[in-house]
Amino acid sequence: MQLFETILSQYGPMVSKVCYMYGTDEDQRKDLYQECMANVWQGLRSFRGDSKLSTWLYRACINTCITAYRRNAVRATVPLDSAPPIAADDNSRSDDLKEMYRLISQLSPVERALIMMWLDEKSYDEISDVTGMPRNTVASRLRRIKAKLVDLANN
Amino acid sequence: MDIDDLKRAWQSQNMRIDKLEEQNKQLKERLLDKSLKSNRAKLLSTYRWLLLIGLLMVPFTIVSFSHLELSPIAVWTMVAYFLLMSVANVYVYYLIYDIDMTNHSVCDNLQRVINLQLKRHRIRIGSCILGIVIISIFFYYISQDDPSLVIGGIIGGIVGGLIGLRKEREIKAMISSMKKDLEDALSE
Repeated sequence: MQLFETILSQYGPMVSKVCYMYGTDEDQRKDLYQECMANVWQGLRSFRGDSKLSTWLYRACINTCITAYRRNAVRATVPLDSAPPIAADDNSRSDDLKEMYRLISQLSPVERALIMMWLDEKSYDEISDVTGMPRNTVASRLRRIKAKLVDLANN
Repeated sequence: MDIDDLKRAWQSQNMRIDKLEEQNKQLKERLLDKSLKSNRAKLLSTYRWLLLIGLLMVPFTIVSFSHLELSPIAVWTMVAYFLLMSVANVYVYYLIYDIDMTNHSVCDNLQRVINLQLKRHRIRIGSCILGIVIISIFFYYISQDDPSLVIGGIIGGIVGGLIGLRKEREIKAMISSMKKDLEDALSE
């Protein structure tokens, strides 16, 4: 229970960010957050400490979100005006945040997972551990995703 | 917007901590009183019930149909059907149990979920086809005095079949999308 409370307080924001990436409205994001935490709660018994807690949580959340994403048959990209109601530290970054979500929402579910972990400064080894992709594949996929995002931003 | 802008925007995010704290408080309470369960847990519970019902239908079929004085072939065919469905439910139960969102990698988990959905889809189709055959045999015997039962059965079968087919098409589309996600993930 103590570990779970630590997860809620310290990693709740991280889990929220992941859910925002896969949900298209507030209700869906809340449902995803609950589903992620329910899986984490059940999975805590089997947490062996082989990997960092943040890596383990990322794996649980991304697995939950990708599974739910297809089950909910979400296809549309996030409309600009319904970008998540989260604040930027600096008000001038609010438009950047919306634009960021608009761009990332055009990626496939697995691509979103890769870019999210890269944006959170996870190492290629950690990303490889979470996704199950070889390290070299992670590196080459990230290169392609970054090029795709720049392309989408310019168009 | 370039990649550095994207990274700065991502790292500048400030989740509404107050909203999260309230949500977390309710979440903890619901997890402790077991009113919140993951979809996996709910599915496991559903299949435990299906297994129990399937097994209970065996003695129920034998006892109730002997009152109706049906042919032994009809009775034992139905018993065999319920036993077969129980075996299928046990198989699916273990496929669901085997899914571990916290310890399996994304690709591994996707593969298992695809496998589960495919098997459930095939078992549903198979059980519907078998069920139609079994019910037809059943109706053949009980409708000899009252043909209107057959008409009711046929109408019910058509309506149910159409609803089921639509649902199965959606599930097939979902499985195809998941397979595409997995191929995309595993490609170089």
